Parts: sequence; structure tokens; C-alpha cells
Amino acid sequence: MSRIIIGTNSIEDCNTAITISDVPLFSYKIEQEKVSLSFNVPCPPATKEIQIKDNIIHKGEVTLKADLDSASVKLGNSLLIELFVKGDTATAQLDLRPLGLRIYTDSNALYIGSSQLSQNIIKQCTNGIAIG
Amino acid sequence: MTRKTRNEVLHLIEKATNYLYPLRWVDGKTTTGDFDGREVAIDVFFIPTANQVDFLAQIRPIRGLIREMAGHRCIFIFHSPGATIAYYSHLFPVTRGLHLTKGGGIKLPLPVGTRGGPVIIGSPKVYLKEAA
Repeated sequence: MSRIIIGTNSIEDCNTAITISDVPLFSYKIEQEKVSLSFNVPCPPATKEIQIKDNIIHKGEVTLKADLDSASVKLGNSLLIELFVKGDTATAQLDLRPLGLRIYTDSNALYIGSSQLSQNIIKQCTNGIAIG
Repeated sequence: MTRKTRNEVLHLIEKATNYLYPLRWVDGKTTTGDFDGREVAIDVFFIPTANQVDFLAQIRPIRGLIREMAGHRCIFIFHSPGATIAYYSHLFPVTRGLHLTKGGGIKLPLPVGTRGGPVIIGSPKVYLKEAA
């Protein structure tokens, strides 16, 4: 089983956790005792495009840090995504506001535009949350 | 003003104010009352009274551009957090405690303004514990 906790929502065994305009936002795997993150934000709707595949930055002026149980991506000083992995569960914190998208998490919920999602369980779905 | 221009204006204001407050163009259906400049009025939600002057200061550098894009000076209608919850809670759907299995997941529109709420796609098994 794989589980992603994002803004208190649990997305379990889904092909992709979140998509934006049909582009999977992020995925991860553990390679050589290190988290390997893929993170893609399409432009539009974002103001800047970001493409990271397996910890290699293809597009976007961002910095990536990865170690054995976490990975994060920053745009300047702004944290876009931070992922903590423990066993088969990953906890993601997200803030795409610096990219012009009102999508972010806090300790209570995942906020997408004017919608708020919290404490939901989405299991065995094609896409957990599809945006756009 | 085209829909694209209206969205761009909202994006500019959201960016200038660090995405702190949800915005929308005044809506013909849900904004009551008649006033001059209705077509160039923007609702600003969840803004405490004490922050309204700061909001106007933050958008000062882009007011000229907004005026040019909108073809007129914009009017801002501020709604305090209490007033937003009392009169506009329908614009801010909260999806909580949903247990969704084997479907297409949850679909949301791109986060612009306050339009759209979550839609469950596919034919999932849904266990609704609590939803507002």
C-alpha cells in the first residue's frame, strides 16, 4: 500500500495523488537510500513551469534537496513542496502560491482556490485530486 | 472586459497581496443590491477590517495597470471573516470526512477567484461521514 497524506487528507493506492491540468504534480520513489522526487507544474495555469524528474531539474529556477527520508523544492526562499517519507506513507506540504496558483496546505487542510479539503480518504482512484 | 482579462486582474491582485484573501468579480446572482460600478467591483473575502488599508497599500503599485485593463477604476468590497462566513459560505465549500473508494477521485476547477467546488468523478463507493 502507498499512502500520501496532504493537508490531513489521505490518498491511498491511487495512480496519481494530484494532477494539475492532467499533469501529475508529484511522485516519489526510494532509490539508493534516498528519496527521488518528480515534481511538475505546468505553465499555464502556473506563471512559471517546473519540471523535475527523479531529482533532476529540467525546467525552473528552483533548488532541490533530498535525503534518505525527505525531499523539498524551493523557489527562492519559498518552499513549494516538502515531502517526508516514513515506511509506505509520505506526508506532503505544498504551497504553489509563488507560482500563481492558490493551492496550499496547512496543518488543517488542503486549500484549492476557494475549496477546502480536510480529513478525506481517497482510495484506489485513478487520480486522487484532479485540478483543472 | 473579457473573461481572460478579468482572471488576469484577479491574478495580479492575488499576487500583490500574497494570496491572503479570496477574490472574485461581483456576481450578478449572489451579490445583492444595486450600485454604480457593479461591473468593475471586486469582492475581497475574509479580510479583517484592520487589514483593509494594508490591502489597498499592497495593490497601489498595480492600480494603474488594473485600471487600464478593466477600463475603469475598480471598486473593492471588503467582507470581514465573520460576514464572509455568515453570507458567503456557499462560495467556500469544505469537503471533510469523505471516504472515497474506486472512482475517478475528486475534480476541482483551476483555482481562479471563487468559482466551482469539488466534484466526485466516476462511480465510486462513497462513505460520507461528515461534509459541509
